[in-house]
Amino acid sequence: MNLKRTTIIPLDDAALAESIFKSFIEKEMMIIMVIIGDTETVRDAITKADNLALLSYFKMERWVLWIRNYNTLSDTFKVHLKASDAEHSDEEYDNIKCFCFSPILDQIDGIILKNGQLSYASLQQSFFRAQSHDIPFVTS
Amino acid sequence: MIVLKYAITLVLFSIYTTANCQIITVSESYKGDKRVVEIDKAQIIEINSTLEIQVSKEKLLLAIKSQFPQLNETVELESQLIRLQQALRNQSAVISILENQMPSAEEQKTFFEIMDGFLTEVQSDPILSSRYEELSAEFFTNEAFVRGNSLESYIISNLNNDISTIKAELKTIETNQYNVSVVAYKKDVSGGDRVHIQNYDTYSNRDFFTVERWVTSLSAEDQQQLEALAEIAKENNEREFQLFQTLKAKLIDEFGSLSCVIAFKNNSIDLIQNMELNDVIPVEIKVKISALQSAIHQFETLYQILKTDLRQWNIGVLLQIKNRALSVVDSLKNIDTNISDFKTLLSQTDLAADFSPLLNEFNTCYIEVQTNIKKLENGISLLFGLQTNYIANKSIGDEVLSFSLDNLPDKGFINLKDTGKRQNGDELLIEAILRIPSKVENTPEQIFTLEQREFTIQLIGARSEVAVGLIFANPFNKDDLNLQSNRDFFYAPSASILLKFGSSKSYFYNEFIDFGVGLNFASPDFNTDGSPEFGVGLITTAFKDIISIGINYNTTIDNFYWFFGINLPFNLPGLPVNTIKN
Repeated sequence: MNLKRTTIIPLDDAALAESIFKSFIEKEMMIIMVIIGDTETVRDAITKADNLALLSYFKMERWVLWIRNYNTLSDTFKVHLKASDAEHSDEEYDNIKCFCFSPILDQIDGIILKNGQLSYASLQQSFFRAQSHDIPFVTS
Repeated sequence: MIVLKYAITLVLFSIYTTANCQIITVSESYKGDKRVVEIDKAQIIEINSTLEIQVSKEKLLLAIKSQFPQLNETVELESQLIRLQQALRNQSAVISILENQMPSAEEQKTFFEIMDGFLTEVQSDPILSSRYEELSAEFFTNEAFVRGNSLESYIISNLNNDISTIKAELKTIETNQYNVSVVAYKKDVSGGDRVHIQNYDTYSNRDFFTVERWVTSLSAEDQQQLEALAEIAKENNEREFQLFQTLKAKLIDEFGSLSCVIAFKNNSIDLIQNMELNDVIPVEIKVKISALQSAIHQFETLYQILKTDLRQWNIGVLLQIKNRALSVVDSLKNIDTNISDFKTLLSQTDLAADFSPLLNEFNTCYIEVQTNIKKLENGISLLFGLQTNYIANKSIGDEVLSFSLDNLPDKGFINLKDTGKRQNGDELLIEAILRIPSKVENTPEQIFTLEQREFTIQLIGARSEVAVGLIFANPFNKDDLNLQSNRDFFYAPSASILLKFGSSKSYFYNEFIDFGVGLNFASPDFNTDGSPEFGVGLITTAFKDIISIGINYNTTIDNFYWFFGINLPFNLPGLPVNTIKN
């Protein structure tokens, strides 16, 4: 797997994982996609998401964080999910496999549930939903 | 058990798909209000409204696919074409925003809204989803890919190529082609007429006609009827009521031709019975007489049925009337043939003299019947004219545009005000039609109705109506009035201004109850001095104004009276007049 715009979050060091996540979330004008799990489907989706992260729309960068289990960063993500008003944000964390952070407000949007497909179309839609979330704060 | 489960699921699924297979959706706009006329609700529309007719191509394809399996190949391709065209409907906006170096926040919002819709559609369609996946993978593995290239442009461009390929493929399928049309007719008591649907045909509009909601004056017909009623009221007040006898006499007179036929049949039976006693009639003549009697009996029956039909005719039984009339004419010809054969047989025997009075009677009767049949034929030729017009209107003219599915407009419009004169209770029929061109030269195309929506047009909400009719007036305190006549009820012509309500939900209310309340103006003649008095008061009516009741004040002789009116839509012995108003 030759990933260009994906960071694999370590599973054995919670502090480091938190630190890496913070360093990305603090970046302005970047949409962060989080993909959780380590199944065949997820591995396949990581490649697709990494490809899509190569694209940039209206000068917003994209990045992918791969969290290979549901323990790592779960408390942090649950807090963000609680603050989100996106579709499916009230679902159990264990039932979610992908979402994005919006580029300016860092609000979660574009949630894909476990029973959803991780296709190019759904991943692209997730990126777009997160980016469109912060349009009112974009200065053109 | 499993089989039963599958069967139940299948039945439920078919019910679901049938219920949801609605090709035509009709929305009604009237004075700024818009509503969809739901298929499972009353199909009643406002008489002066504008209709928006929306045709679902997806549902149309489903209907064609299920009803015409021979068209499956074409339908599949057209289905793909429609899905692609639908998904790419906003492609120019997407490309334009992407090409803009500095799109505004508003433009970005538009872009994301369009893309969200597009990607949702892609994911809900397995074929489109698979194609999107394939094209995306291709885009990222393509050596030509460089950062900054747009995935959307690549996908849109390839999907457009797919559209061109499908169109080319459709062109190669020369057989099993079909077209679709959407047509509308108006049906009223005088027959039917085409209704122009903007975008779907090129028929010209009929006269612009708004059905007035607030009517306060008498029409020329009402005026004429009121005068006739005054005359009838006067006559009825002056003489004994003999309508039943009059009607009976008129009826006998009208059916004179039939009585001569019956007399002929009876006389022939008597004659044969007498002859049979002498046993002189050859068997072949007996057989021929029997055939003749049978032909006369058939004629008598058909003639009676025709007369009954003519009394109750409407556009629905018009076709039957034509057939009945033709049957009567045929049966008369049959009698004529039998008589000719009978005469030939008689000429071969020495019985001609015995039958001579009967044959003379027949000849006289035959001429009479022929004259009456001719009159009938002339009379019903007017009805045939209406029928011909009705049939001609139902046929698909060149003005009806024929569309393939990809160029079928999504919407059409009917302005009911442009459909000419119409009245409450008229019907509007909208049909989605499948047209399959004939493969044989000079033979007509095949036409199938895929869906039909039928609406009743009605002035919905409050309206006024003017009604005229004959009332039966009963004065209060009659003894104080010192009237010459000792009758309880006096006939009087009357006119009313009624407030009525049309319902968009209940046929029963519109077509049966039809309650009205208003002012009544009548001209009774209580003192029977020949000059009418003037009465005014309140009236309530129901059942299409068949029954009315009210109370008036006679301003000429300063007296109140109550009244009722019965305006049956048919003649009944005992009632002086039964003409329905308006």
